[in-house]
Amino acid sequence: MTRYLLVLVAFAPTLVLAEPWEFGDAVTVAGDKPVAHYHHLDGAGRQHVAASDAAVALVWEDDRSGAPQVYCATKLHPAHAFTRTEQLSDGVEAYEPAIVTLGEGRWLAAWEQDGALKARIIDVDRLGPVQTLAGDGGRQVTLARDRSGRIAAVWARRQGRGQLIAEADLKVDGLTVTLAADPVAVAPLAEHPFQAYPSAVWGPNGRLVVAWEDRRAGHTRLFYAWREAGKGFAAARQLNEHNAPAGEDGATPRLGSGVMRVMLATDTAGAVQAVWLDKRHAASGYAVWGAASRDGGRTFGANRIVQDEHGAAVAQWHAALTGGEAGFVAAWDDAREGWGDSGETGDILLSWTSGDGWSPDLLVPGASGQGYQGSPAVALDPHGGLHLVWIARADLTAPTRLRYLHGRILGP
Amino acid sequence: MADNTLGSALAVLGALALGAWSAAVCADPPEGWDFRPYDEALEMAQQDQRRVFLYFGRHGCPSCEKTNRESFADPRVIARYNANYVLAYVDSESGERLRLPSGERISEMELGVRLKVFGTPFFYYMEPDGSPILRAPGYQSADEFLRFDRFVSGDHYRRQTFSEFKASRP
Repeated sequence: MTRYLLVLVAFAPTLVLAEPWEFGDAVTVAGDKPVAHYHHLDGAGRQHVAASDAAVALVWEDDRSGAPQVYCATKLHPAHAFTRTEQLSDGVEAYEPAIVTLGEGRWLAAWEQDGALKARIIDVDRLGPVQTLAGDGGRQVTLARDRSGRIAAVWARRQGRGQLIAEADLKVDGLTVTLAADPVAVAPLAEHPFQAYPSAVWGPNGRLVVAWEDRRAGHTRLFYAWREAGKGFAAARQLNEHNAPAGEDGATPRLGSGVMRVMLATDTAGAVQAVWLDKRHAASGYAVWGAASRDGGRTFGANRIVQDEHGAAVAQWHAALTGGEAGFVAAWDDAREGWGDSGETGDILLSWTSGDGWSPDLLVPGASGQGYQGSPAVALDPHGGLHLVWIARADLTAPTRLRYLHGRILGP
Repeated sequence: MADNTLGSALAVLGALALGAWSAAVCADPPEGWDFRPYDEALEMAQQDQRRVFLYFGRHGCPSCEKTNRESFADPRVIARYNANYVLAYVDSESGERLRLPSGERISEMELGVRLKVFGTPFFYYMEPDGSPILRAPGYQSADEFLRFDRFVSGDHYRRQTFSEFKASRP
């Protein structure tokens, strides 16, 4: 009996308490081979992990084949390790994947491949065919699915020398995914559009909310727009607050402090949250800022900083966001700790909604310490479990590993 | 004759830069400079065994605009930098991709993360293989750019820090 207990203890995941969170052991999903490769978690919306009641899937890009390709790993709860890895892309080069859960051990992934947008259904034990969503130089694709099964793809399509955000509803039938309608422009612009890096969520009552970067003013601003089922998008509104100082001639200069990579998420109550990187306090680089919508994405409240004051002296990078039963969780990397290492470049930190604001920042055990731990993506499952995936490397030029851990919040 | 040729070239380059900035209102790379993507510049630098001058800018960055309008419009700076360096420009918010010497493909924004570019403009002087010589964050005057160039092109960085160099040549 004692022998069996020892075996159980040896193979049971360790739990690390970081109040009010409890985290399991971090596991290496990819990059544990002697041959060096480079893994990347990059893309619109940072949708690199998706979790349902029963299973978790990760998507990323790496160069193990000699060229950048998109891969997926899956595991069933409560297995500790990812047991299955598949290459999703089938072209010359592929980048910036996004994934959403379809429930019951199924997912939908989309990515950029050779100047087109591709998508594929992932079943727990097989893959659907690779299908083309858009062939118009599409890039920066993101996906949104709600609990009723509505799915939308949003991406940046080439228009002249610029980009315009496009959206289309998708239809899933077995292992195939197709466009349910022709793509539409979210915020059409006649002249010189440059819209990039969209993020999208379904709000209450079938309302699709989309946010993106827009450079038409001469600097980058964030906009959002929404549409109800069967209708067109309402006029776009600016999301980030920007008080442009007047120039010497009294005119508003076409300059700004810098914002990028907006993320949207919704919680189970229908609230919509946005976070992004914002350099309005330029001396320390980008910080994580956000805004909340209490009316399902029709309007957003005042911009509020997400991180706490301990991160004020360093730059934050790679902000990610997820929402669920317990509210919202934001993740990013920064180098506030230092660890006495001149090559120190990042650790993963979390903040979560608490009352009307954001919690103090939490350095994630297992995703912090020596070397670089950065570029996170996060997803909450229906039970409130947090799934975190990130990139780890000895320093910023070293080969990479794809790491994952599971956490759970124990209290407020 | 050589002086005249140089003078004519400077006048053309200066006019190009100033003309571009009378029309341009955002902080993209200045015209009249042969800026190119970082990976292309590194490749050229290794082929030609020339150093790299890397300019991290940002679309709509006020200090970049001031640098372009003032420092990079100075004919002395234009002449020295076009002559002495392979010029690279990176948009620190861009998703455009580039290939590092290691073979890794990353976005321009990610290069900023790697090089710890917390603000713009940010200037890097590099050896032909991409190893760093000098970092200069923020707005720099034309005279400061000329001083940086003397420090780098004169090989002084091999013997002393920039602070020592600056103190020895006020």
